[in-house]
Amino acid sequence: MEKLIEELKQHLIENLNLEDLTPADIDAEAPLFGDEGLGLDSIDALEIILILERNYGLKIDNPAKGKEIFYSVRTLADYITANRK
Amino acid sequence: MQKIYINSLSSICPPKGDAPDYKALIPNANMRRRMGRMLKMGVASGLQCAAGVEVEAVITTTGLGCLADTEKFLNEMLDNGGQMLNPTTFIHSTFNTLGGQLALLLHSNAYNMTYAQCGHSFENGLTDAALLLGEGRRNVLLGGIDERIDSGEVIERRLGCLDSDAFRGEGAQFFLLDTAPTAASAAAFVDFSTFSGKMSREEVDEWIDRFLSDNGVVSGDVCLTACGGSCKVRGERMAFKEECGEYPTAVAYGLYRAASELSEGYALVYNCYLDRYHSLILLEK
Repeated sequence: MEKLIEELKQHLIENLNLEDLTPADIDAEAPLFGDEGLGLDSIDALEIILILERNYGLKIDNPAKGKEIFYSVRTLADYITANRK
Repeated sequence: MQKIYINSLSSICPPKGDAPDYKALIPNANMRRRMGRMLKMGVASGLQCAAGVEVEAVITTTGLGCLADTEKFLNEMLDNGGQMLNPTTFIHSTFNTLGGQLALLLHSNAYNMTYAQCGHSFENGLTDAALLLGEGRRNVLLGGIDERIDSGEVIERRLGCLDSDAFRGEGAQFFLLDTAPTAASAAAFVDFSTFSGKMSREEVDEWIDRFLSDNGVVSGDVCLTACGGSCKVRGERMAFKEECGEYPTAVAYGLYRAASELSEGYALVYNCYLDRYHSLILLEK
């Protein structure tokens, strides 16, 4: 799980151009969206959907669960672990 | 035409070594991290030019748009078979993305227009600005922006769009135009004109003489000629493309240099792109 979390952080930094951050700066438990955590927005959500599709072959079948899945790096990792074939 | 004053102007010219502190100029990290080089150049230059002024129109002009983002978007389309494309590179591959970013950062919901018409993009934007000012608008922000990428230069040279002795340049110049001068006004437009098509050197010189004569100006009154093509020089010669290189909106750099340097009398900007996009701008102090 910890390896997957580090990998996800790296994907986020590269794909979202988080130029000033290193994986160590990203708290796996902190919210990805909103003012408290990384401060990502709706365009970033689309980029994260692409990260899941391209790298893990996963689609979000139930959009209503998006908020829960995309809450933090850890919830993303949980979703990947539970659904990866 | 009515008097139009350049009340503020700004330039980022990478071939001259301009490397602004984008973090300071675009403090919004969420916006900045998504921007490619051209957007950063354009936004930084536009914000500097419009600082402290409520603009009533934003006009951006570019020959080829954000080439790096467009190239990335097209490569991703090929790599992924047209599926799963990144939204950011798609958004930035559109030519009006800079105008949109400027409007967001300036909190301006005023007129916003982008001209992408090859070698006359900037001139057509200037025409629009003059029409808007003639209708009574104030503080029109006008910019010319283009960027250079390696693969683009290879293609341009292969297509014969760049002379062998020309270097492919890039830059972002902005002008704040108004019908009323301020203490900071750099210069005023007397007139401008464009011509599309081939012209010999003699025809260019005749065209310039006619243009000056139509405006009641004799060659001796012109203190400075900013040359972006081959023409008879009146006053001091400034070959501005030796500084900024060749690109579709290089005339904006010529205008920036002429307006910055003009201390008295008239300045003439002559530009020629691809041998068929000619333009003349006459400025006075």
